[in-house]
Amino acid sequence: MVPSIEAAFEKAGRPKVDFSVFPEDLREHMEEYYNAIVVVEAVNEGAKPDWEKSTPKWAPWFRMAPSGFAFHDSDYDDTYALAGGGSRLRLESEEKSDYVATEFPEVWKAVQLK
Amino acid sequence: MKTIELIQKNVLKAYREANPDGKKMLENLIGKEVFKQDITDRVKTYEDSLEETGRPNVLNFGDVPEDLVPFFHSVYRVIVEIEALNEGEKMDIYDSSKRRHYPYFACNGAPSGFAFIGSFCDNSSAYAGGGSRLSFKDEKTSNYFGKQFQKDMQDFLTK
Repeated sequence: MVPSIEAAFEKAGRPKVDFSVFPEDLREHMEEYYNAIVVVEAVNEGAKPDWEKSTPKWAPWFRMAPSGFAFHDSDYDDTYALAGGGSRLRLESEEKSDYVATEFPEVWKAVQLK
Repeated sequence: MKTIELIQKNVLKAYREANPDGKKMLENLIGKEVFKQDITDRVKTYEDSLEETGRPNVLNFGDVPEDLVPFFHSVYRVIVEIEALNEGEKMDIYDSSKRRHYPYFACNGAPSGFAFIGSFCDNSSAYAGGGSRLSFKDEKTSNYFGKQFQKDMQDFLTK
C-alpha cells in the first residue's frame, strides 16, 4: 500500500513540518504524532472515521516490554474512544490497521515513547 | 523586612522531593495546609495546568498544516493538563509492574453524546497513540480528568 514514510508523505500530500514552536522536550513527540497521522491518512486513502456513525474504527494494539515493542493485534470500536485513540489514528479496516502496525512499527513506537 | 516571593509549583516540587526532615521544614516555613491540597483542587483549567507545569501557552503553530492546527492545539492542551495532574510523575510504559490509567469516552452518534464513561488501566500493552504522555498515575486522577477536561478531550479525539 505505502512502502515507506516518504511515500506516505507523498501520497497524503503533506509537507514536512518544523515543530520548534513547541517546547523542546515535546517536539519529537509532536513530530512522531504527525508522522503517524500522515501514515494513517495515506493508508486510509481519504476515508475519515465518522464518530456520528457506529461504523468500526480500527487501531493497532502493541505489547510493551523492555526487550521489544511488538504488534499484538488490531482492535476496533464503534462508539467508544480511549484517550489517545482519536480519529486521526483510526483505520477504516482491520487489514489496514494490521498493515500500518507491521509496516511502520518505529512510527508507533515513537508515538508511545517520545 | 524583606519579603520573599515563592512560586507555588516550585515549592510543591521541592516538597515532593524532600526527605521527612525537609518536608517538616517546609511545613513549618509555609504552613501544612499548602501541602495538604490535592492536585485536583489546584488544577481545574488549562490555564491552571500551564501554571502548574510552567509550560508556555503555544498559540502560534508555525508551519503545521492549517487543517491540523486544531488537532495539535488540542494535543498540546491535553498533554499539559495530564502532566499537571500527574504531578511530575512520568509514566513508564515498559514497567509492567506499574499500571497506567486512561479515560474512556462514549461517542453516541452525535457531538452532544460525547460522554466520559470510566477509566481503563493497563500495564503491558499500548493502544495506538495512547502513549506515556496520555496516561495517568491512578484511576482517581484519570476519572477527574475525564470529567473536568471532557471538552478538551473531545476536541483531541475528534479534531
